[in-house]
Amino acid sequence: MRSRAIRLKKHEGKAICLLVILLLLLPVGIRLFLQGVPPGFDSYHHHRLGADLLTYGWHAEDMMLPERGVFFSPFHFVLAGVQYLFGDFSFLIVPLLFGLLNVIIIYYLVKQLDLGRLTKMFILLLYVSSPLFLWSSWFLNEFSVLLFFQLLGTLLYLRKDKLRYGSVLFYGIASLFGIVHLLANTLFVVFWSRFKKINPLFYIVLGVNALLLVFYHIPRLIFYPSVQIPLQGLEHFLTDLGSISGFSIFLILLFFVGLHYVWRQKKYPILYLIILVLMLHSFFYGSSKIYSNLLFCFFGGIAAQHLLTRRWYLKPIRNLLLLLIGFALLFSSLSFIGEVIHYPPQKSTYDGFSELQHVPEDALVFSLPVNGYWIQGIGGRQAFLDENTIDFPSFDQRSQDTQFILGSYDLEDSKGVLGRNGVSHILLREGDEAPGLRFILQNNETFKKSYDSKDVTIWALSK
Amino acid sequence: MRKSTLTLLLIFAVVLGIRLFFAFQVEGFLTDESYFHIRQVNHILETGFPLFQEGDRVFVFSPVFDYILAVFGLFFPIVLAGKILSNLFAASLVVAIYLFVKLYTKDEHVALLSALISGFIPIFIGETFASLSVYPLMFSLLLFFLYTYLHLPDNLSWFVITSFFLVFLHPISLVFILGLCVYYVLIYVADIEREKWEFEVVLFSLFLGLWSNFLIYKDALLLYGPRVIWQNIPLGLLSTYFTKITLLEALFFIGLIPFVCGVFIIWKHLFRRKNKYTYMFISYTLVVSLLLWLRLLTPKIGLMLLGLFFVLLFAQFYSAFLDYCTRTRFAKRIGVIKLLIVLVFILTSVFPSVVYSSQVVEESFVAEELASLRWLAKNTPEESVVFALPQEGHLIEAIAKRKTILDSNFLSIADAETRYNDIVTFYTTPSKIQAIEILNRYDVTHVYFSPTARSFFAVEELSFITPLCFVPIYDKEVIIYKSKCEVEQLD
Repeated sequence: MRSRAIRLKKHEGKAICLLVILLLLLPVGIRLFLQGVPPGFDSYHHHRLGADLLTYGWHAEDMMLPERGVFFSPFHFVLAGVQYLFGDFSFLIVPLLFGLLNVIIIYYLVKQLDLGRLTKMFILLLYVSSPLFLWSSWFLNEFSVLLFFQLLGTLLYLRKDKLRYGSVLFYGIASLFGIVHLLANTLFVVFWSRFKKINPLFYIVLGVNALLLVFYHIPRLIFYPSVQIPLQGLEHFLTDLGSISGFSIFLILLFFVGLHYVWRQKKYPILYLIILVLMLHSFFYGSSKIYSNLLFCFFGGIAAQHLLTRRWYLKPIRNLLLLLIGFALLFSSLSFIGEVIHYPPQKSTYDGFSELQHVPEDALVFSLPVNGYWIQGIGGRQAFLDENTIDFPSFDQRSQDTQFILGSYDLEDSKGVLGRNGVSHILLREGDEAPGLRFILQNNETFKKSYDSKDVTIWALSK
Repeated sequence: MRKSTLTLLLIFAVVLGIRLFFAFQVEGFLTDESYFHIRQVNHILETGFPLFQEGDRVFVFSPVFDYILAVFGLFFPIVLAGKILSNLFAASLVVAIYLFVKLYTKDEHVALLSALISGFIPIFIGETFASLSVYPLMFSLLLFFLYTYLHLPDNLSWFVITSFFLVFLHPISLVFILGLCVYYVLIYVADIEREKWEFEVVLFSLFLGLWSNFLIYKDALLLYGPRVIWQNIPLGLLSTYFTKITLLEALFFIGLIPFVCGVFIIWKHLFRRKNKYTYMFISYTLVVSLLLWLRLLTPKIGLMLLGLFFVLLFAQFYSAFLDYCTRTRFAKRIGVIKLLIVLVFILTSVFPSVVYSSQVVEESFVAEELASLRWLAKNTPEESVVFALPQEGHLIEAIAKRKTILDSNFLSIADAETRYNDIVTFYTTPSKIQAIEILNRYDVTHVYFSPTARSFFAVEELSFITPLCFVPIYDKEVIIYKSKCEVEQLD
């Protein structure tokens, strides 16, 4: 029995590694086999910005829409680097590679914690099966890269040798991603100082963060106050309610059970405050979800270990409950995998947007803002409006015009607005809510259909 | 047979008798939901499977209740079986309440009076006597679930079976599980001694409830998100489903005595006394009240549940009251006091129940509607599409076996809002062109203009009707028009 247990323990790491690789590669493989194109809306935006960086070098304005500024992000530099080496494969390589690296770093971080073997294994298992990890490892977005810098910074920060000073660099890079991420690593460093003797590194990290705050983030907030961050809600928080970048409700339940167990120790009062703030921020804004996910998995792991090893008074309930938790987490992940496999764009949609490559290069394409990134990323043409509202002086005007064009049934009025803005083409997807526009598009003297498929239709405006 | 058992049987018989008396005054059922179940049962009887998909529509629901009905449907006509079964489930609450109250008051008289009161909760009797609804069964099961919970670990198998049955029967089970969680939190906060197994059982129930409901309603949850609570009901109709309730209405629908005594017990016991039974009923009362206040629960279901728990709280009050009386100079007149209370109860619960039920019977147009629908089934082609209110959708689909553009199962229709707005426009517009355009949009062949539609939109007749485009092919209480015109766009 003992030797079997040792053998199991020995193969634990390999099993988790295999599970991660399977979880990461299998759905991506199925998606590519079925759809042939990467998923996501923002993914295409990031991919284009990375490609622009590679082609034109760093510019403070959007190369496709010069009146709009581009915020500096280390992510696009990393992306451009990978694009330089692997071309369009960067779409897959960046999230997958950094996802995998994050699991490895978390493994080393968890190893350092004063927790039981079973707890550590559960934390890792919960993390690799969490929808947020899967999302950040399948969709091209900044979160897996950002988390990599934060985790690497933390791993180095906890070291005792000189390598620990490397954490300043990685924390610094992570802080450049946004003020929330700067606060995240600052909070961690402050929280950790309660357990360890304060050393010079503590002051260096805080000093660098203070400098970045004063000379980078605060000026950004002052000079670009128009940055609009819409409030999110429950449907963005839980994958079981339709969110693509959220949490499983069962993981959150486990988190609360874990919290209940830790609470009984009557320690770490500041931790509960941090958790509360973090959860509220994740709920309403979303940019801190990657940290909440780590916390959920951490406390979830503690809960799972307690539930498995505690003294149960009703044994059948224990067996049923553990079975239920297993099924619930498995179903949650499986259903999420299914979602991603069929997530837009589908192949036919991609082909429709690719048709834009055949229209003149200076074309301005009108569509719903949600299609903007694809018009630019897939079609390579300028979109009248996309979902990026940052540093865009004419955003309000364009947004108003968009609403007017989508809803107006008056051909002359709509023509006037389209003409004033220099729109040359219109693109609509099947199911796009544009009742007025669809009505006036029936006028084939003004609007000539240049492409028509089941998913996408493109019209050219007659001069 | 013991005297108390005989009395209980008598109460059960009276409650069932009154319910069936009213139920058979109505031909068919009064709610659209009933006809949804009838369609499902008929489909199960024909094919062995429920109707999950019909054309483009996917029905998201749990068919457990329909299978139960189908078993009885094998031996009896479904309307008869439905009426008897539904009222039997509702009347069985009397027995459940008796057992429950006897368990914690140990007083036969209190248990019998509580049982009698539970049989005459006005809203419960008025809303369920002539409808094929899952709620009477759910409420009986809820009491059984709580009974087995309080008798754990002895009744573990029964508890597990009931839990599984509850969660797979209807999503309202989530409210029951929420109540259990609040109960656990309340006794934790009030520092009442908890059994070692209580945490395990509450956690199990929570996971089971969430998992099963996420499993059954996954598609709807992914499509509508948290809005699934409001079942994709169109905004215009939402206020009729989730209406505001005043205190007076609550008093009338629940019954004066249980309501007042229940509120008194909550005030007297919460965080002051340490009775676990009372805390359990208080938890459920608080959860349901909160959900009602936040409009997350329809008033009908909420008030029925409140009625149930107020009866249980009343028992607590009544037991304490009798105990108090025996220690005062009224001890000699305890019989008179009991009689007085029964009289007040008859005035405030039995009387409103009977009035409410008679009113429901009088206001129903079911007989006329059923006759018109049978006529429709015989005299129109099978592929006809009927334009009617969403509240009449399942009725038409079950009896006339004709398609409608919208029924009350809004979760299965993604554009329910648009369709409902078109229905409102049709019944209220003076424009013939607009009305015909709407009919053309959904390939409608017949318009069903019922007394329900008349009262719902407060219109006596459709102002745009002309014999050229709308031919009345059935003209009684209900008018059925054949739509003959089409709107074409000129080049």
